[in-house]
Amino acid sequence: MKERQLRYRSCLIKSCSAVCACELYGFACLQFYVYMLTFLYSRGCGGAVGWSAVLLSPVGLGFESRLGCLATDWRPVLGPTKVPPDLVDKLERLALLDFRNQDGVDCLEKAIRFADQLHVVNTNGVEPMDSVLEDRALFLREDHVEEGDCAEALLRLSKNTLEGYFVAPPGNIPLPEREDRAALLKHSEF
Amino acid sequence: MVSPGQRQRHLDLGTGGGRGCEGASSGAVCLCLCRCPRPCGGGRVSPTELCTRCLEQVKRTGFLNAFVTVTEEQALRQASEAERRFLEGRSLTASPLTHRDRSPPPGKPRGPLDGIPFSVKDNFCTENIETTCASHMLKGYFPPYTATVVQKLLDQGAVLIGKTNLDEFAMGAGSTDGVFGPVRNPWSYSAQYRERPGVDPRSDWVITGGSSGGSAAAVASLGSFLALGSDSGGSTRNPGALCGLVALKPTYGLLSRHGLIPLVNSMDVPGILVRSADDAATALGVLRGLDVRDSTTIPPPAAPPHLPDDIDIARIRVGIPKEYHAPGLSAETLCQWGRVADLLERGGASVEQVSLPHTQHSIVCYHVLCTAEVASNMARFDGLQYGHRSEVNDSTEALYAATCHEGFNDVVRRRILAGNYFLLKRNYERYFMKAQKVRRLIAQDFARVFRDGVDVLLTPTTLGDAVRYCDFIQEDNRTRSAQEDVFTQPVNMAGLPAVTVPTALSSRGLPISLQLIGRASHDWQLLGVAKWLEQRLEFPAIQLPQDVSQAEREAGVPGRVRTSVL
Repeated sequence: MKERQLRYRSCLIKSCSAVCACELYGFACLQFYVYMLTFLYSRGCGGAVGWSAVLLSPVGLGFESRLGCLATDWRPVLGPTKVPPDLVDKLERLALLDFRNQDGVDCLEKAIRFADQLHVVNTNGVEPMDSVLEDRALFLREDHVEEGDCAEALLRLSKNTLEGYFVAPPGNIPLPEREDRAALLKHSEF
Repeated sequence: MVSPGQRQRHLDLGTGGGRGCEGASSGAVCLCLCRCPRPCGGGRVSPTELCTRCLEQVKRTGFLNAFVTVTEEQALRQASEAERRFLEGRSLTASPLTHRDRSPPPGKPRGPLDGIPFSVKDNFCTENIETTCASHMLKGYFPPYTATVVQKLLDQGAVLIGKTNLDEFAMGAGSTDGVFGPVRNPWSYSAQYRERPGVDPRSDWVITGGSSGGSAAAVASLGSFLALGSDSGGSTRNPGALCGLVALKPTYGLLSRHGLIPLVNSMDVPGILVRSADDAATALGVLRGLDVRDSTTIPPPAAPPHLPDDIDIARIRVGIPKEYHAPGLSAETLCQWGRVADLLERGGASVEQVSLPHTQHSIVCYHVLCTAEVASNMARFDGLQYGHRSEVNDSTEALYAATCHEGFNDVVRRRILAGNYFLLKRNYERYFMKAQKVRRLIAQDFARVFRDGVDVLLTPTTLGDAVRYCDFIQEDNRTRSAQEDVFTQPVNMAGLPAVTVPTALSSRGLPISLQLIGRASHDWQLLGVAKWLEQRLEFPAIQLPQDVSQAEREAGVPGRVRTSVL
């Protein structure tokens, strides 16, 4: 039994390193920056270059190290991403949500760098996939009203209604400029 | 009258697996010996008694913070109705009755779940029961309707014990990021964990995993027999694995999402958390089906009413995807992976190595698709129609911005902002479409191995056993999600069924689990293999202390159980 387990393990490890080698070869054929990235990854702690580089390294298998290992160490793909102030402003207006503080912006930059790893995948000729049910006809019900008369129940959920309407403050007023915006919001550090 | 066969089925839930709690006679321990209305200590347990014991257990383990709302009064009412049905149907023999009113409604037991206590993650709408998503945004929200899956359980006579804690809007992998505070893993207080040298129960409690951590803790701590979670990237399987439960993520579309507050619409499914594969099959049989209110539901496949006891796996082909041998995988989990693969091979299954080459990109792809759909979904919380409304009244946009600012925590806020970035016109193709293309490659990987004849894939569920809370919070939510969901979210990309099965306790005395992945709509085959494994793995029952209140005192936290206004 022990032997069998060992065999499993070593066969898993062997095949992983074979895959890794293929990938490294493939990457080498890509553009230079991608190659550099691969190099960085293999020196780093996982990410885009196949599991085995880390697995075979002394830190890979240790129980303690697993907390800090996978994907925590994201290296830039195309150099560090900076989100300029005008983009911060634009996103806050679009999302109607503020970053709150510089940490929020830093976090977005990290999220973008993480997402940039997608660009090592070759997707030439691949169609985007919206839904796993794309290849089947889905059930549609008849186009007539089956329930209703629940206006009161729905209005009761609102904090502010008047004569059967939801009440909103005046519209068509753009959000104030960034500096004045912070005054609107509690606990905003900007 | 109920035929003996019907009666047997009626009593099925909770009997499978034989994983009762060991030990003597305190209420808590007895509860799991009588895991269903079955002979227990020479008598039978009535639905009322069962419900009362679950409620007591929920109170005793309140320090776990598993529940947001306990619906005690309603639960007792439902239980007494179930009891009346049992008496009318003469399905239960003499048990002491607390109710004298035996008039309406007449009838007989409704099915295998009648009278069975269950819990629901607090992101499923429940009529007139507060549904918070563990967010300020929905505190005080009493939905005017009930989610289809919850309604199906209620229609079967199952007894709703309460709504369970989670990460805010189900965004997380630890159940540590909700407004009601973190959920504690019941195994933190088990004899198996605490009786190891050097464990300090005050500070060394471990997380449940997430985001359905409250549901997992409720079932693992014997406060419910069944709990509903939701699974977008592993949110049911991850806590199920860390709490030593059987947790099923069904095929996308098999269960209705109507009433499940959406996170990632194209991947969300209701999940099932139970203590055995049989229970999962029973629940799945009740919950599946087309729903006119959810156009993404599919006609369910024909399925047996319950799993056979004698399962033959000789013709099953099991694939071991080599890419799941990932960096950070603990040596003990790896060892269990090998052990179970051996077990299947010795049992006659053919076990072979397969490749899912795009696995490593899946978590990145998930990150982009998840934030994009979150950005879209969260836009509904504007403060006008329901939920939190800010006092700011300068303009409509100012109201929206202030409401979101006050209502969402940093995790939700950051996902929304990242999603908005990926969906910008200039980034749409570069990130969102790119991720959708990678998604197809991941789905095609699975399709290829299943086309080649593999029936079931065997993988780890998590990198290792549960982490201590104090270690877990050293990293931010996104980093943790990327680590914790690494083995679970590829399945959501492809809409496949997956179930996690506990295999053994680690050297720390905490559960280690493995994941089985099956073909779309082959959920029952998957559960069959899970049951076969369960019969052979003999995963130990949780040994909670006789006096749980001592654990509570040592935990140093007051129980925070709120009771519904109902």
